[in-house]
Amino acid sequence: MWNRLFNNKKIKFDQQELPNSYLLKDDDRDSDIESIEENFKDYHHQQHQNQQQQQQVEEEEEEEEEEEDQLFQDINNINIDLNNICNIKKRKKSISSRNNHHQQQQKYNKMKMGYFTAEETQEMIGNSNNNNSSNNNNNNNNLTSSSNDGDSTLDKTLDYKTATENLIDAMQLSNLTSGASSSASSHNSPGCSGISTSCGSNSTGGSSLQLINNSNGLSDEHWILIFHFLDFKTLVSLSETCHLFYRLSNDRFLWESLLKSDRKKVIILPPGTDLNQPVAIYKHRKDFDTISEALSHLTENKREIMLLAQGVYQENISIDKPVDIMGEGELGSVVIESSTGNTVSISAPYGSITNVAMRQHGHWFCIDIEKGSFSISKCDITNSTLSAVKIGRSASPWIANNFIHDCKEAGIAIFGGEGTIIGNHFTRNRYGSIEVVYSTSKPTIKLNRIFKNKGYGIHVHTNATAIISENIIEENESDGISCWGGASPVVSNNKIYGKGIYEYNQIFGQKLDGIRISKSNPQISHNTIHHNQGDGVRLVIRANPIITENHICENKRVGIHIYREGMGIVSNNYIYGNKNAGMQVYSRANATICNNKIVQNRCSGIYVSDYAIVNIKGNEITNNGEVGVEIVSGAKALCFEGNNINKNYEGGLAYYMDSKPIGYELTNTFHSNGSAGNQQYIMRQGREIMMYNTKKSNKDLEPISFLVENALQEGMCTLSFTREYYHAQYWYECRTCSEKKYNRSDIAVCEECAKKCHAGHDIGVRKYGHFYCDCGQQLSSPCQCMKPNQNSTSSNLPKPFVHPTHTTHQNINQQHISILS
Amino acid sequence: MSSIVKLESSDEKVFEIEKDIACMSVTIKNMIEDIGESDTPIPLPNVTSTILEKVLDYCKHHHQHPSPQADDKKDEKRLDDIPPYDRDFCKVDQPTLFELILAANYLDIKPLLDVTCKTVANMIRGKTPEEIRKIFNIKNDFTPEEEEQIRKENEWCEDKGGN
Repeated sequence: MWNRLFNNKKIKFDQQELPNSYLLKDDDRDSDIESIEENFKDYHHQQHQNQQQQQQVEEEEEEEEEEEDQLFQDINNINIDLNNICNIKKRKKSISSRNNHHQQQQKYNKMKMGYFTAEETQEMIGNSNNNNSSNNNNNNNNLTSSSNDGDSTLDKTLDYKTATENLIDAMQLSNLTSGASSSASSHNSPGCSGISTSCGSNSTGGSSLQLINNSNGLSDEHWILIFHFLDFKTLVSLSETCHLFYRLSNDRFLWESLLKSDRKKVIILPPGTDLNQPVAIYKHRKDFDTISEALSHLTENKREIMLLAQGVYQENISIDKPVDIMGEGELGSVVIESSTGNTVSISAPYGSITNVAMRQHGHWFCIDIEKGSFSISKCDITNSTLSAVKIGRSASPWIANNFIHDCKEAGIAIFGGEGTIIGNHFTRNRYGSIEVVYSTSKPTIKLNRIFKNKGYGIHVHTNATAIISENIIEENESDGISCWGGASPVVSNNKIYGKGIYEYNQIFGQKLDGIRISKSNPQISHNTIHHNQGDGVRLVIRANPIITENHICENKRVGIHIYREGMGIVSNNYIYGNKNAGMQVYSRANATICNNKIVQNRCSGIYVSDYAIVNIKGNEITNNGEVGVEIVSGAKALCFEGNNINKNYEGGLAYYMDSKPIGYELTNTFHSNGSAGNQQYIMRQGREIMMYNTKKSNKDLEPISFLVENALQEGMCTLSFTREYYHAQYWYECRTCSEKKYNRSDIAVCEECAKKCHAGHDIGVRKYGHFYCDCGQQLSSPCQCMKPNQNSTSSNLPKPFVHPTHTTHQNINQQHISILS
Repeated sequence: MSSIVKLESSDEKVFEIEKDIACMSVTIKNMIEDIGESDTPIPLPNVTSTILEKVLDYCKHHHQHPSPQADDKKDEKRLDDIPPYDRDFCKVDQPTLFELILAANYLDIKPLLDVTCKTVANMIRGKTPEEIRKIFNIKNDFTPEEEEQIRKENEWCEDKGGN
């Protein structure tokens, strides 16, 4: 159902986005989408494999290599894409294939030691259309005699036997052919007839015969060789002499080389010029030295074609009339660069730029699209100072198949405006790939590959909307999709944060979270969010998303992480194999969690703490490393029913006195929980009553978690009480340990560890936040604060928890009250 | 001191020539490389003795007077850069010139092919169709309609001045 809904939306959107009247190239775009989709599918496969490999080999050096490799691959991919549609490319290709042909022929000739093959000879004879039978006889005689020569040579010189064999074969064949040529030539089509010098009309004598022989002898290739020394006027004269020369003088090779030498760098062609015809280009072109000059000579409302020869153009160009601009050669051989203004400013209602590299070195945009539905495709765009592409308020461009990289800020910044961003590759951008701001923004972002950016993948904020679907967002240094400030994108099959729909994206391998949402209410569905270094989905500060039918798996931290008054409906997701909890909900968050499948996460299935309020209904919670559902003191499950909680390692449900869900035994199914299968419920000891700690509340946003307080009172690392769940507390960043890179990420430690384990280290200032201590996790220098202080025996505090897999934890007797069903 | 190779023309005349000179022809060079040196004459069944003699003259001259290495950047389309010897060399009747082109192509002697082709191009350059027909003895095989159509196709040429 989701699918269908989405498809409908997509179709509608496309129609809105692409008014037919604007686009000569609508068909192109459709086929674009198809080809992009296909490429994408291939890429998915490939990517999966890569990902798996990467998992296995996690050494940094190799990663770097891979990075390069992939980049290279990506560039290749782009090139391949380019081949598909770009006319120029086609033209170049056919030309080069022609050149190949030339070379091949020459090679072949060489192989045959200078002889023409039988076919060629026949062609020659046919072309020259020699009707004179005496000439044919003459021809015959010549050939026969020479082949006789060949025979006698064969007799005399066995040394040369092999060398001449081919040659003789060829001669004999041509002999046969020429024998038949008198009849063959008579039904040669007059269309390709050539120089005909009939004996009668000429002065008799040997010279005339010889001339005829020679004209027979000169093949098309020879004539072309001669003609390529001529200028275009002479070629035109030649075309008026006879059929043969008409044909030869229109040879594309000739015009191609003429065009090369006679044209200037920029040429304008009338619309509809066949770019595969050098003659046509030569004829119709208008020459200009610079792009700006050419642009000022465009005809209004005509959408002419502008071809750019290879080279670097240092200009600020401003496009205000419809035009199709195309770069020649490989992508990257035509470069427009500037540092004194926007490299390209576009205000034309429609038109396109294809196969051009654009650069910006000053404090300007590389491409500034003010208005109109201009199309930018197969370009290589970068900006060392700001964003590469700016989309203004009333613009709705089509940005497809580009390579947008190494920008100092976002790859594409959308300030209002619409537009379609499809099939692009974004990488190594400093701020992120696509930034959507302002409430009037409504772009469609799909089928892009967004990887290894230094910031966000996609960033949606300030009440903006966006449709973000079917992107691959991976290995970015920050969040994959980040939504702030009332953004409402639709995120499907992607990873994004903000207000909107995120659908059908693949989001993985980010340094931080897959999707991060704050103060936004996006709709996130059908995404695959995996292998991120942070959380799968993180909702902070009053985010209110709908998260449905996603696969959220194998993330380094929590599958879905909701806090700071985050809200949202989480339903029908498959949350598995995350290295922390499946879901963690705290800090006055308020979430509805239903019909999810939460399995095989390393910690608890769902962990609710710090005054969060949840509804947990109809979930299947099995095979998690700790308890199925843990509701910490102060938190509440308003509704806890219809869940199927099985085979969790420590127990099915853990709760405190004040957080016990009412009637949970009757409305849920528990079985085989606990290491021995008999620990269905656990009541933990702790605070009897939920209460706010007001001691430091005037200074802090939130009180310190009571579990942290317990730990500190015992003089222990807070990890021993909080476990790997996030609890409000003070913490320090230990720069001394961070530098050693035990963990590849910065090392943050709790107050107790800062005092003991990290005494004398550079630990910086005290910070406050939701956190668990990194100190106790390090295998190389185990935490010294895990042992409880034997002297303190406050009896009403819960004893620290020992995770079965934590080798650094001291195993002390736990006291759990278990209620067996 | 380079050895002597023997070349045999189509009319069975044998020419003896220094290997270095003969090897200006890429075709012969390849043959010698493939087969090794031998006393038996190399058959060149595509070249008559008169033409072969001229070609060898050309090779001898250029072997003795190596032209300064042609600058690759030089506009290869220039027609007025033919050195004096070559210009004289090409002052032959048309059939011979064509045979030289064929021989140069067959024997793969690039400078000779260039110079002969340039000579022919020089004959055509800037000529009207009628003049070209006269030079090569070509019959106009267009119908009046075709002629009209081609003239129309070529109208653009009138607008393009200055080239």
